[in-house]
Amino acid sequence: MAQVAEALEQEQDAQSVVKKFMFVNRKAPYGTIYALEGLEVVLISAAFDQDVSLAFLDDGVYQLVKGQQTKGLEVKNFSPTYRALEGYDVEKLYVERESLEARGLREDQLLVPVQVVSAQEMAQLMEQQDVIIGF
Amino acid sequence: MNFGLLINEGPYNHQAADTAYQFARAALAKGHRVRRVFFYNDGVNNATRLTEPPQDDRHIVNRCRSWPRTTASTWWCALRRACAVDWWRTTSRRAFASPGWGSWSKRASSPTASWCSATERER
Repeated sequence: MAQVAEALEQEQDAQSVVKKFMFVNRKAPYGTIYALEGLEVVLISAAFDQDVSLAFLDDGVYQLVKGQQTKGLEVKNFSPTYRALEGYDVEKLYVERESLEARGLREDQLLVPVQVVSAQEMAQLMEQQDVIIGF
Repeated sequence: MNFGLLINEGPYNHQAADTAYQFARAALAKGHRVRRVFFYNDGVNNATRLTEPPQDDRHIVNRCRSWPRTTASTWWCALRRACAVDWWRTTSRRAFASPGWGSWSKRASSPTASWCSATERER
């Protein structure tokens, strides 16, 4: 968080230069706080008019799966928030194909429109970023 | 069966506290007893009354506080660890007993039939 806030502040000082931020999500949505915190930071970055993209790898692909039911876990189902990202002009969502396939998931099982990319393409996308923050 | 629970992780970051709570409730529902719950290391943060989660989230501390009187469980915290985080003054003394070190180890070695460690480290 501090890293993001600092980077964002520097941007404001530098006459609102826009940087390319990529947030890398690698963890399942529940069981740890990381997925929820990552989403919060994405929304903050978007509010600062940054060029934000999200990557979903490993168990992170589960964050986007439709039909999440958290009643049994007694925690809040925050997955509808991913649908709100469009409203913040966060539309670059990349999902790693290998991670999806390893978990028997298909693109049509995801909550929001995404670009499914290979691990190699994902590496290229990361190469283009100014800042990469992992959760 | 008599269960004792040992919680080594704080609330919210990982699922340890949730797992312990739900395990205890399930055990009680099946007619078992949960005689003692120990908070140790970061686990003591499950007992601070300064906890302020977002309004739409579960309140892990209050959830524990509302429980012990009805189930005859006693919630124990490890006092010395607690002091390290200046925790004792921020804890509800009615809901949580803190036995101090000697008593804590004595209780810990008292005969509980089964131990369940609720440690959940980051994968």
